[in-house]
Amino acid sequence: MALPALPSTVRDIDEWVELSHNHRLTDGLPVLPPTRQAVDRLVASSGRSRDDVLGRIPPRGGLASVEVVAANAAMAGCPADCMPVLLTAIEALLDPAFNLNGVQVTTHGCWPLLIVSGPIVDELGMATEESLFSGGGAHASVALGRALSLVLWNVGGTRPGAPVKEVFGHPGRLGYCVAERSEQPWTSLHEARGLAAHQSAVTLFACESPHSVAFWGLGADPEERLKAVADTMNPSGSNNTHTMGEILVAFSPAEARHLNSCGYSREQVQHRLFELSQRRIGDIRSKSEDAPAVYEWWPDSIDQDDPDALVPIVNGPDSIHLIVAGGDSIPWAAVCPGWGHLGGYAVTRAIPA
Amino acid sequence: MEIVDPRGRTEEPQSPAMAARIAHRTDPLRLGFLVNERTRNQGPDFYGYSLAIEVALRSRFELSDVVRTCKPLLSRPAEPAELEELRYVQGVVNGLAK
Repeated sequence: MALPALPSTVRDIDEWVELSHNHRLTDGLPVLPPTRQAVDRLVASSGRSRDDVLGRIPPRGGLASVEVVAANAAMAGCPADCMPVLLTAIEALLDPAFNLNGVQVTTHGCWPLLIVSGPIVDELGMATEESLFSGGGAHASVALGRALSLVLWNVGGTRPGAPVKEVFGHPGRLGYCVAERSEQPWTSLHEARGLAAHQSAVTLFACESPHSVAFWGLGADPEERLKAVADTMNPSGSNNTHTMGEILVAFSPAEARHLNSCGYSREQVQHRLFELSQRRIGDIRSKSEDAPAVYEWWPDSIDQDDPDALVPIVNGPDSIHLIVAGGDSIPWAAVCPGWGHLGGYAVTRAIPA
Repeated sequence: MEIVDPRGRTEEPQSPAMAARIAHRTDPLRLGFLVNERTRNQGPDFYGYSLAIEVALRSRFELSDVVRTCKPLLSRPAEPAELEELRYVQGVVNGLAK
């Protein structure tokens, strides 16, 4: 359905504020006017033609040209040098593996998390320490998350009620972007996912808000601490616990250093979390007559009639995405559950140099 | 201030005419159901909903045949194999259960 046309000019900021709300150009937060001057500056910094098309953004199917993306970036107050990151992020979202349409309209509360890694993190001054999941007070971090959300709002038409059926919502719908710390004991996320260490990259992963893992009551034993993380990965009500899929785990720098000093590489942490987070079928599935007796998506190797059979909560160790970030004051971890087997799978793309 | 529309244009259908209404037909219908999920796992009972709709439709229309196919993953569009099964039906019911 065609949207009502916008006027090509506004008199002043007051008229723009009224227009932006009347035409639902914003999700409720105030937005800057996408002036021709601001949009042209952002297009120029992208290194691409304004008419280049990235694709159609579901569910509405709006055409995401570089200029349209730049208009949303202008509304978010995006710094010009963030444009290559934003464009790469949108291209990653449109990868069929991500299932962007489903992610946006599902009843589940997942939302695309934009994870930036590599040298560009420091070049843009992105937050990697305290409060990073809410932007850490860094202009680039907040603006990138905000711009991506505005693209999905305006071009994708991801409106609550119709067509979005998300039951409770996700605070990250207003902006959900983090950056990985460059100084860390392990390989970076993008290197673990097949890119070169010197490259900069985006990884998009649909996930819930971070669930805190504090190491209450524990000593230095790394196995006990990984078990505490695993216990936060597999609650009974989680999509992951019942359908597998993927999950994100963030370790604070202090905890990553601790695990590394105990001899745990990134891959070893993934393997141990994969093992420790498995659940007993009898503990997660009801025996009542109206409960499902079989999950069709579980591997055939699992005997679903055996209540003692253990089931993985992700597709494999590689489906546990690790990042090192956050304040360096104390060992800590956070878990962002995914959408389960329904999609939102991580997609990583190199940002053009 | 000149402003740039941030919404991106959509492709409007060239021929928005609706399909023929089945209420006007006199011959028996071949009806298809595209079901989101074969078994009820959490939330709506998609399959049971399609059975209930079939009963309701049979009370109003003469159905010669019913084809019921399930998507492999409820969150994704149907695959070509499922759509092929529905090629020769005259109407397809696809909806969420509530």
